[in-house]
This record gives sequence, C-alpha cells and structure tokens, in this order.
Amino acid sequence: MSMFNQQPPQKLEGATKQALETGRTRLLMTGAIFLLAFTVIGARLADLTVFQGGAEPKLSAAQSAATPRNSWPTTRADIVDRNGNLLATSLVTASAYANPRQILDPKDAAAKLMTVLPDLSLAELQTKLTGNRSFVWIRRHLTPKQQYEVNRLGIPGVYFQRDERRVYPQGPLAAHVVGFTGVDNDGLAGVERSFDEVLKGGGRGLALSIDLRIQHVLRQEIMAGMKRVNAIGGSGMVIDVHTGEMLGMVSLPDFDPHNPTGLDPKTLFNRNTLGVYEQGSMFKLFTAALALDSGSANMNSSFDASKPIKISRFTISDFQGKNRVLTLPEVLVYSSNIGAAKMALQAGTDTQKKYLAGFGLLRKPSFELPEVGAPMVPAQWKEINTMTIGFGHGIAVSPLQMASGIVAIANGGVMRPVTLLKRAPGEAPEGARVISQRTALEVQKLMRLVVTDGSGKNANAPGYLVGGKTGTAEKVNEHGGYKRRAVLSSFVSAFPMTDPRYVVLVAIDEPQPIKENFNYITAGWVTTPVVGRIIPRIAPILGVSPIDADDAAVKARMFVNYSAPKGPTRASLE
Amino acid sequence: MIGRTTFLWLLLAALAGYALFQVKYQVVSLEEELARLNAATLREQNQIHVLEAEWSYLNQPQRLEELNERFVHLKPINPAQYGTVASLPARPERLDVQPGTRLPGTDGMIARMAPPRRPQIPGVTPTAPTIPAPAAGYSTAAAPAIPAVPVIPVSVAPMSAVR
Repeated sequence: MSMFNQQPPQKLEGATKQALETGRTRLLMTGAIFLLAFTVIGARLADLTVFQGGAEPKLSAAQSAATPRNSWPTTRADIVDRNGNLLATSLVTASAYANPRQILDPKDAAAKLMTVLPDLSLAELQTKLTGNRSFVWIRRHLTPKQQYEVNRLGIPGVYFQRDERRVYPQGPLAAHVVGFTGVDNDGLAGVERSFDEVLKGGGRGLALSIDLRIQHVLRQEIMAGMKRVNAIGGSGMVIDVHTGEMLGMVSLPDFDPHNPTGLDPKTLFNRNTLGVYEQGSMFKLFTAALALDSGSANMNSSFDASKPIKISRFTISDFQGKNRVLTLPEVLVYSSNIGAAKMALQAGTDTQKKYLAGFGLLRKPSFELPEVGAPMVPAQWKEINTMTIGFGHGIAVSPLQMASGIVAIANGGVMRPVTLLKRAPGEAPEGARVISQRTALEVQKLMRLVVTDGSGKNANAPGYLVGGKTGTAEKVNEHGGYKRRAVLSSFVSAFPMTDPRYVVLVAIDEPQPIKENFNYITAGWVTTPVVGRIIPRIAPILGVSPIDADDAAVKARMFVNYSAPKGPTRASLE
Repeated sequence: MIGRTTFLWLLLAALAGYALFQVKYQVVSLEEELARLNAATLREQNQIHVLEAEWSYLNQPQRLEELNERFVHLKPINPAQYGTVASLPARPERLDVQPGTRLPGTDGMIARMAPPRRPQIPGVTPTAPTIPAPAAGYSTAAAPAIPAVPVIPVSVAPMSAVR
C-alpha cells in the first residue's frame, strides 16, 4: 500500500508496458466476471428474501388448503354419507417388511417374529427371510402395540414403512354401496372401485346420497322380515322421486368390508343392481301405464278374465282368480295375469316396447357402481312375449331398473337417472318424459287402490298414504324351467300417494311358508309387512308429515271408479 | 489515521460476522421450531382423523339404537303425535276470563287455556289486575282475591274441574 503512495508513477517502455497492459485487461475481465456473478447472487438473494420471503408459511397453508377436512396426508379420500358421516376413511398404520440380505439368521429371526405375530406361518416366514431378495412384507398394518413389540425384538434387517389402511366405521351397513379396497388400497368393488381415480386424487370426501339412518332402518327391517320367513336373501332401496337420489340401498346377506375375501361370494353379490329377476306382477303397473298413456285403454276399460288364455303350449291363468270380466282397476287389485296379458296385447307389441324402453327397462342402466347387470329381454318379441311381459314374466330386470321406472310414475312421468351421489338442492337433471302427468296420476291412484283394497293391505302404514304393487315371481332354476315353491316376493311402493316423494322397493328371496302367513309365500304376506314397518320409521326422518286418509280432499284426489267386493275376503295377497 | 480506518473496518467486519451468526442461529432455531410445530400439527391432525373415525364408529345407528333401548327409550314418532297449526284452537277474544269459566258459545275450549301469568315480585304490592266489570251472566266466583303473601298463581284446580 505504501509503495503506491510514495513512489510516483514511472513511465514504462516496451515489453514491460505490454505486460502491464495485458495484466490490466485480465484484471478488468476478471473484475467484470466477478461483478456479474455478484449481481446474480445479489438478485437471487433479493428474490429469495424479499419476493419469496413467505415460502414456508405458504407451504403449510397450501397443505391445509388442498385438504381442508382431511388434512392428514393420506392419499385416499374419505367417503361420507349425505349428512357427512364417515363411511370409509384411511388411517395411517405401520407395516413391517424385511430385507432378507441383511438378515443374519433367518431361522432365529422367524422364531422371534412368531412370538409377537403368532398367526403367521413359521415355515412361510423362514422361506421369505431366506431368499436373496431385498424386500419382503412380513405383515401389513400392524397395531401400534405389535409395532412396538416387533421393534423391541431388534432384529437387524426388519423395518417399518408408513402405510395406510382403509377403515369402514359403519361396518357392513352400506357394504354393497361403498364396496371395499384391496391390500394396496385399490378399489375392488362398489363406489371404492367406480370412483377409484377420484378417491386416489385425495382431497375432499366423496359425498354419497345415502342417508345412514334410512340405510339402517332398511337393513334392520329387511333382516327381520327375512328371518321371519327363513328367506335366503333380501334387498331394498329408498329413492327420492324428484332428485333420483338413492337414500338407502341394502342387499342381504352382506359382508364386512374389512374382510371381504374368503367369504361366500353370494354375500358380495349386489341383488339390487347386479341381480336381474323376473319382477312378476309389479310389471302390471307398467302395463297399466302404457295402456292408459297410449290410449288403448282407460280407467273404465274391462278385460275378460273368465277363463285362462291358451297360447301355443302355454296357459296363462290367475292365482286365485275371479273368473269373470274385470275392469282395469280390478286387474290391478286382484293382480290378474289374464287381464294384464290382454291389456298388453290390446296396446300392442310396439307400444309396449316403446314404453318399456322409455322406462329404462330394456337397456343396461347407467349407475355409479361397477356391479350393474344388463336386463334379459326376449330376442324375438312375439305376441306371447307381449302377453307374459304384461304381467312381468319373460323379461328380467334388476330391482334398480324396476324402482327407477316406478320413480318416473311417482314423480309425474319424468324419467331421471337414479344416482348414488348427493345432489345439491334443486340440482336434479331435466329428465325425459315417459308418460303424461295425467297417466302418472291415474297409475298412482291404482297403486293406492292396491294398498287399500288389494294385495298391499299389509303395507298400509296409517297416515302415510302408501301405494304400491306386489309381485311374486317364481325363480328360474338351472335348467331354465321354474322352481316350485321358490319365489322372489317383492313390493314396490311410493308414499305419500297424494304427492309421492319417495319410492321404496323391498324384495325377499325364497321365503318359506309359515303358519302366521297361512303358508302363503306371496309378497302380500311376506314383503308388504316389511314395507309397512319401514315407511312409518323413515317418514319422520324424511320430513313427511302424516296425512289423514279419510279427509274429503284426499279421498277425492285418490278416487277410482271401483266398487269393493262385499263381505270379508282373505285376499290372496299375491 | 490509517490504523483507525483499518480498525474501523475490522470492527465492522467483526460486527457483521457476529450479526450474521446471530441471525443464522436464530433462523436455525426458528426452523427447528417450525418443523416441530408442523410435526405437532400433523400429529394432532392425525389424532383428529382417528377420533373422527372413532366418532363415526361409535355413531353406528345400530349402536345408538341399543343405547336408546337401554337408557332413553325414544320411539319413532307416531302419526297421531303430529299436530298442525290449523288444528290449534283459535285465540280467545278475552284473556281476562278465568280458566274454568264457561263462556257462551265457546263449548268450553277457553277453559283449557291458562291465564296470562302476572309474576309477582316479593315486597311489591301488586296493582289490582284490570279486570273490567264482568258482563252479566259471566261467573266471577272463581276469581281469586289478590293474596296477601305474594305467590305466583297456579291454575290447576279449575282445569281439572273442567275435565
């Protein structure tokens, strides 16, 4: 420093000057590069501190904003019912795995592990730990206690991995709707499968249209009804007729979604959606609807049911028939096969096909479950088919389709897709009109008449103006013929009939004759009492207030030109 | 002077170094705090999640029903238990008539209605209720005198008498 200050600058000549010039240039270049570098660093520093100063708070905020309800970063989203009750959620667990290459003494390690996890197989465990692989699962989803104990064994080469387990707090209550996942949390059935991608995306819980309380009532009453008649199965649905939301859907026997494998496959079978059955006399409602709407018949039309119809090798006869001419309401009240066959024939095959297609009965329905069955429709639709389909035989549809069609009748004639997802209020889709409002009202009156005067009497819950139609269909055996005394007894209903809001369909599979039912296995004895107990229990939950059936205005609205027979009758209640 | 300048620079450098280390350690400790809080939050959130699952499990309708049968004995609403506003009796024209008195043309309905309560405050002499002079034919026998000891009048007897 002192050198520069004390010595005056000297004039340099030649080579020395050249060298200095070179040095100065280099210094300048280096300086420029350094300046550039520091500028970049400075800019970056300013960027980090001033402009991105809140990086960490932002990170945690983003974490909670992305998953508001379910902030724990589990990867699979919850499934909730319409009121927000958890149906399926993911809990964090620990899974034990081993790296066999690091295990010194597989025999000893296996023996030690067996002391903590006694339900493992010793031989299997030894083989696993002996291999030359670097990863084998020992056990997925340990309890905290098991994890602690395995950890305490201190076996080198045994590790834990954070894992996630699907938990169904409601157990089997909505098993067929929610479905289940496999060990790697892939949806294998139900909503878990059909919305697998959505659920894997995490985020907000998926809200179903199901109401747990209604689901519970439905399941409990169907179970009791099945037990009463020693049935092999049962199913039931409750649908909001205006929005098409499925409020309850039960298929019995059901299963525990935590342990769906290794069970009887029959329990995994969803009778409501996957099973297709001949629906029997319930179809007469569609026959009446199409006959009335097409104009081929009116409420005063009559059909000769005095003798069975013989067509080719078939005979269509009535179960405990009246053997006389019946009016249209009487065909429904007495559930006359002959009358319904003639009504269908009078409307014609093309009309029948057109309307049944409109009610969504001829095609596989679109529904938010993977387990949806396609209907069985005759390949050649001859006159005989038209007649048998008139009373619900020779065509097999799922209870879901049956109920969807009745929903259209109950809501005034508009067909809307039935859904398992919760809809916002007033968000119901437009829908397609199948029958006129007037026809719908007439069929609704007929449904009410069946309950007040016909086979639906046992479903007549006081105050809720239940209307419906029974159906008892003989089941098809393995050889394509009908099984004797093996029937599916169903009842489809709507309430309150002055302005229907909900449709309830219940089916009991293979009821056995019991003394209390006078050995009848028909729906009027087996299924209608179940519906008669379900409706008074769910109506208060659904906010349906009771209506006085004897009120003059109600009577006028439900009036059908029909004269009830005199004297006491123990109706066959088919 | 040079020494002073140098000293000043050295001092500044030392101070800057000290400040830098101070800030650095502060940041490290804040980061630790943040990580700790984040971990704690996650732990809490996990616990909430487990509790939510448990809450849902404990709210199984089946279980609630069993608890109800054991402790509360609630029953589904019977249609007969519903009432509508329209089915309520009309508000009587005169609230000053004692319960139990029969008014012509009201078929006794008014007798079932409790009189408007006049809470009496101890120590304060209540003013006489402004009962207008009863029209001829109205029974005023049941009208109680204002008691000396202030009590809130409970009108049970006339009601049961009507039944």
